[in-house]
Amino acid sequence: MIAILLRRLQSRPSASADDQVLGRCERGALTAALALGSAMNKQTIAIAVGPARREDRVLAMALRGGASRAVRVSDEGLEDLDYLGLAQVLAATIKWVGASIVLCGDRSEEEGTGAVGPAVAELIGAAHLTSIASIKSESNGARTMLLVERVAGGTRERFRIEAPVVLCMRPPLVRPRTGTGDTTEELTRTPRNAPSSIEELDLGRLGLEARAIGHRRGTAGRLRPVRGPRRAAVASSAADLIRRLRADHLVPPARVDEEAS
Amino acid sequence: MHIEADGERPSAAALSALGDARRIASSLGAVVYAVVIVPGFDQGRRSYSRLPTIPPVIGGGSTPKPSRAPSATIAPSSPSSPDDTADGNPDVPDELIEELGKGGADKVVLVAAPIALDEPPVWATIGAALAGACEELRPALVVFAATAVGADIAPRLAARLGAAFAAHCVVETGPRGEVVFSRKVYGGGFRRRLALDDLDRAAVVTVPPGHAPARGGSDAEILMFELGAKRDARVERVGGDERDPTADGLALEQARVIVTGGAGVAASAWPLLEKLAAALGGEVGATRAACERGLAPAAREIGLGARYVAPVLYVVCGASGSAGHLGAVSPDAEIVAIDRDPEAPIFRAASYGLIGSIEDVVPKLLAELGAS
Ligand SMILES: Cc1cc2nc3c(=O)[nH]c(=O)nc-3n(C[C@H](O)[C@H](O)[C@H](O)COP(=O)(O)OP(=O)(O)OC[C@H]3O[C@@H](n4cnc5c(N)ncnc54)[C@H](O)[C@@H]3O)c2cc1C
Ligand SMILES: Nc1ncnc2c1ncn2[C@@H]1O[C@H](COP(=O)(O)O)[C@@H](O)[C@H]1O
Repeated sequence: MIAILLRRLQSRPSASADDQVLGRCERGALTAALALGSAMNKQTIAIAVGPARREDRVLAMALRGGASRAVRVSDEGLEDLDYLGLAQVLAATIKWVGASIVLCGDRSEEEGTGAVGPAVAELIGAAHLTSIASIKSESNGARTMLLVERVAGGTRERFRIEAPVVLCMRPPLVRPRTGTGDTTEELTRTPRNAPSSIEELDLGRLGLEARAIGHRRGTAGRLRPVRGPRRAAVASSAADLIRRLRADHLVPPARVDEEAS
Repeated sequence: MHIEADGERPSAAALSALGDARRIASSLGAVVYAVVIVPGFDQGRRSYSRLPTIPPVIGGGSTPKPSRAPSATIAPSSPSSPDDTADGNPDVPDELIEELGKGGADKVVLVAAPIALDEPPVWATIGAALAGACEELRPALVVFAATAVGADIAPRLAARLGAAFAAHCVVETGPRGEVVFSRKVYGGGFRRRLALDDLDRAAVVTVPPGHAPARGGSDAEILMFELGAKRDARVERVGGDERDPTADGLALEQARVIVTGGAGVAASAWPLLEKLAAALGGEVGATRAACERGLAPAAREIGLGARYVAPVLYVVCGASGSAGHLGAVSPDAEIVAIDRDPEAPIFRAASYGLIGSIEDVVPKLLAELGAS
């Protein structure tokens, strides 16, 4: 079983983005998981933690794209959890569905913490790697092995990794727009209504007590809107701009000045 | 903080993060431990020529007592006598120790990990050693540089420690003088602020490079930990590394000057930006909209969904100043905006502005710089 951790893109706290359903990393994870599932002939299950009004569109999209199952975990108070509280809920769900390969995004586009995947790996006792560009399966008797390519710090590294594993997918690079949607673009054009096949779980069904994760509230930091900005000092000409930048030592002095000094 | 070494020296990202760690520790009256992962203590000093990681750790107000003393070999040594192996002290890279001391470390902790010299430092190879060192030191805060290595290791270490975690954050001082980790989220429209004072647990943070390293520190004491850490045998590296064809964009993260083009730059005018960047000794970046138009390779994209940058001078040409783009530019950068629309929001984020079309204005700037 392959699990894919998905989360609806939010343009603001508690407001879903209308134009895009998934961030780039999550799109990468979904596409890679669906491809891996069909290559390995394994079931794929999309998992999202959050309210139905936010997450069902994502899960519907995963089902339409070919995911075998979709599970949403909704309960009170899940919104305020930090990365580790969220990871506790996800880890319990992964155990509940029995997945040994987990794909998620390197970082969500709005929170950008990049912590959920490694934290889930810690809690389920799996190996993990971040910044993954591609995944292939390799059969080795009864063992499930994956060959992964990691692109980080200017190099491409290859690893063979044994399940249980959490792989965090880097964002696919932006490509010039051609007008013809790729498969993930296609996937985003899903109906808003959730298909009835989305399974809904709460903490009780996962055997988690609200108390057990309660201490992970309020440790993600407080959200504050960014204050209105100031106004630039507008230069009257190109010469004026360069003169100001030179005066503030942001641009080196003119060569003639150097010669004169 | 996580820092990769560059030869026998700490990397620029490491020193920048160490500088942040020093400033925080000084404000708290705490001790800074620069934790260096080494491939073992029984090899000659040449074996340290490529050090995998140096994550500084900030302890409490005083030197913590190792919690499991027998498992740690704590051998204080002087950086001035690093080659003294006769008394059982290993060889240590003295330039590195010296530089970490000057850069703000009170103590340099060498931790043995089963990692080959040419191996990438990831959690699977060095995580157990790092977690072991944290168990010994019981830090209040662990600081990593926000690099690919930090992204792999820091969050898992945070989870292991049950710590609070904040990525890519700027260190600020709150109204009560408290240390606050702040970062832009939701496309730049919001900030998340995590105050160290509010926490009843340890914190792990990653900080973007580009800040001035701390200077004027003194000799650091050396500690050595041999904790018997094992690597994760489920993860095996296959073959050697290759250069990533998109690595070209990495230069942006180190650049002191960046000229970024947006959707308002015509394809025919893009070479002007390249000339301007060359004249200023900088690199060329692009917004997402510019990359989508095929004006620049994707590896050059700057933004919250792409690459974070921390230049001294950031020249923005024909980009509206969206939060998704500017949220990934260090607040310390001086922004210069060039846009033909006087009402473009970029003028509210910039310190300097020039109104005009790129085609007209940039050739004049090049002439002023003597580079036309
Ligand atoms: C969660 C999230 C993450 C995002 N991540 C990123 C990211 O990583 N990177 C990123 O770039 N964007 C990101 N975005 C998208 C971002 O919001 C903007 O859509 C994008 O940055 C706009 O690019 P732009 O400024 O180049 O284009 P525009 O907004 O179209 O601005 C073009 C500017 O050019 C000016 N102009 C036009 N012609 C000329 C001329 N001839 N001479 C001078 N000026 C001219 C116009 O006046 C205008 O100000 C993200 C968005 C979200 C919601
Ligand atoms: N609420 C959620 N439900 C399911 N998966 C999530 C959720 N939040 C984050 N993730 C996954 O974790 C990755 C990293 O998120 P983050 O740590 O917020 O940057 C995302 O790309 C998703 O794959």
